[in-house]
Amino acid sequence: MIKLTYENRRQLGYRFMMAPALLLMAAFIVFPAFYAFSLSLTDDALLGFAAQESSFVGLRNFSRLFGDPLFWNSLKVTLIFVIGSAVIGQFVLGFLSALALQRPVRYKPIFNAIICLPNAVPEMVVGFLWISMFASGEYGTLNRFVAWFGVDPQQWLYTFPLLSIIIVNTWRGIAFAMILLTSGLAAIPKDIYEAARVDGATDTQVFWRITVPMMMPTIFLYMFISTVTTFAIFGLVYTLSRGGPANSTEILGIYIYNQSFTAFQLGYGAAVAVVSLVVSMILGIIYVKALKVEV
Amino acid sequence: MSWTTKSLVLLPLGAVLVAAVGWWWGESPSAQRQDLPTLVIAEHRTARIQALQQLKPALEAELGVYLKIVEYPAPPQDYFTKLVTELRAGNAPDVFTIPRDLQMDDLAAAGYLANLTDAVEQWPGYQHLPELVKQLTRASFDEQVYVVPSIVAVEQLYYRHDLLTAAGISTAQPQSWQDLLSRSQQIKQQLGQYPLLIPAGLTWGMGSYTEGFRYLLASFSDYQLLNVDNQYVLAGEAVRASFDFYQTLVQQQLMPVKPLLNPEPWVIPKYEMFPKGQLLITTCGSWCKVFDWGPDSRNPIPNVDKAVQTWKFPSADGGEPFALASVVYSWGVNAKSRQQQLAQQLVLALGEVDVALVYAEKLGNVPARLDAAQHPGFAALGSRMEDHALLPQARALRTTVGANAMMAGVAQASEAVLTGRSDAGQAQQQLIDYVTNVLGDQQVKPQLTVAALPKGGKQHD
Repeated sequence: MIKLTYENRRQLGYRFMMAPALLLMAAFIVFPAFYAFSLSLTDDALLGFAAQESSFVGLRNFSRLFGDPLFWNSLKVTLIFVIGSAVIGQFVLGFLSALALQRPVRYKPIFNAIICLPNAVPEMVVGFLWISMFASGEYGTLNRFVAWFGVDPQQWLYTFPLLSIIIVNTWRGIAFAMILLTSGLAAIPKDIYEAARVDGATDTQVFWRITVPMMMPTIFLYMFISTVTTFAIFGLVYTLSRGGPANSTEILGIYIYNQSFTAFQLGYGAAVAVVSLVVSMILGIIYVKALKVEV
Repeated sequence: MSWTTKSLVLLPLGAVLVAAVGWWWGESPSAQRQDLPTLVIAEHRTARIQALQQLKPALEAELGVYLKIVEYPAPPQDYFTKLVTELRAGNAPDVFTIPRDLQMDDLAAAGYLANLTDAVEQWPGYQHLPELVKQLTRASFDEQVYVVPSIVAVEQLYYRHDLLTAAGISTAQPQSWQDLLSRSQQIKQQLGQYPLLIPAGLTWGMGSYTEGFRYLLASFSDYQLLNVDNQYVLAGEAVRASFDFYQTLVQQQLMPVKPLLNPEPWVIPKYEMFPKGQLLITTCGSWCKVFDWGPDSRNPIPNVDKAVQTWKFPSADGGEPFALASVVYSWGVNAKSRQQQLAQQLVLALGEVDVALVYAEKLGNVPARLDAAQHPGFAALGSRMEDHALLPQARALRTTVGANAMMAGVAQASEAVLTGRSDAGQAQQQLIDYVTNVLGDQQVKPQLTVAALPKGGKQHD
């Protein structure tokens, strides 16, 4: 009988404790990913003869995909959406909020709550709420507001579709950015700031030479999480625009849904999902490499 | 244990107990307690659910079953998506409706629908169905019957008779496309409003075909969407001319384009512009005077029966103007239902005239059966009695497996015309490419087949 050392038993215990998480990941992440890949190599569909008996089509779905202008449009829209709302909008406003709330502010919990509220509302509810904001005609909330300045009622979701969904997603995501970046700011030792002040550093110098470099790991962690989650957004944009007008807000999530559950082509939809997964993984790897940045 | 701790344990337990009792009570109506067999029936939209609730006691008594009505999401596309995913997963209801006849082939080919041919052919109601309806309830690939029709939509052009008359513009039936275009130009010139709406674009979904492109294709007397080999006929003059018609409407600003690109493209033109008189003519069906602009609708048009009147759709090739007919919300039986016999009895009962009249009254369509005209309740349909009379002469384009892809192709290609990204020829090519890509070369006929097929359906022999 093999006698385990204390260290071996401890290692085994750790692995045992990790087993449920690994099993869940295997069941809900790894297996579906492989299943999606196998599906993407077939002509499987939810309707028609292929629904009864699908056949192997090799890489036909992928060759169709790469020649499909709507897919490229969707990828482009997704990248603009991710950069506009997660990388720029949420990050900048979240960082500013985090910095502002580092200072002594009266009623700080109230401001915190106000910023966090959008994150507490379910995605679909946010969608419907903003539909009311952007509604065309004189009764739309935003149209009532701009009417005070003599502006005629606009069709916001038609005239500025992509910008509109970027604004909504930014509004919704500021809280997460703020919370994560606040924790990063709190982790910067105060004595570094004090030393810089003693050396005569200005506020700007302190910000660019101490705060930003020290925040880099947190910033990249935030960028990683927000990029990947924004890449996978569906409900919010689907509620607001369903991908229109003229595919101008058809992000990858909506494109996959439309192919799989509106056109009912599971094989093709799975091919788009596989490509989307690969793009997400590439972005993830880039961020993970960047997370090792030396400060 | 302190009282606080006891409360923490007992309160949730009590709540669970109350919920369990409530659930049991809710799930155990008297009928179920008598061990009657249960049939699960899917229904959607408030008006349809109300109709089924009204009919439920009589149907239960007649068939000796307990009917469990499951409410599905409202817009037809969302309903259909949920239904299809459940059918695929094997947990769909026993009985359900299929929003449009052209979705039946795809469902039947997927093996989701029980074959009802024997039951329907022996059903006394079958002989009262118009030939067109009989054709539309058979799958094109095996000529078997998979659904029981109940109501039919008769689709034409609906126009603001009150406003055109007031402006001194002719309300005579347009005989040709050119007539319709000239009338539209006159309306635009005199009233300064958008004259005509023929739905198109991606966000209108399948309606871009069913409520738009289909009218234009059917304007060609000799054109059928399918050839004798059950292939889609998409190359050729009829399809090209239909896209040309859209292009003319867009270029001459005869149709409101911007609203068609919205997420819910029907809302502004049909529910706002038409009632306000900012749009004068639109394609619509027998439901419109009830559901869209009727007194109980959200956008009522005063005295709608007189204010809004209908034209048949004009021909493109010198033929007679025509009305289109679609079998809507026909009843199907889940092929995996464990209560096949009962479910078949139920759908046949749902095909009876009494039932169809309740649905037609609530929803605004007309009964599929011709003998409905002799029913005492028929008069309640009002002006829709005229729609019902059009059924024997109405036209339809039969589709086959892949109709969904064909409709998606039409939606994409017509959107390209709306936005000016493609001209008519490019849009036609886009449609052919899309459908060929999705369905494969075998299902798309590259050349136009102009064999003289009878109006109202494809013929195999």
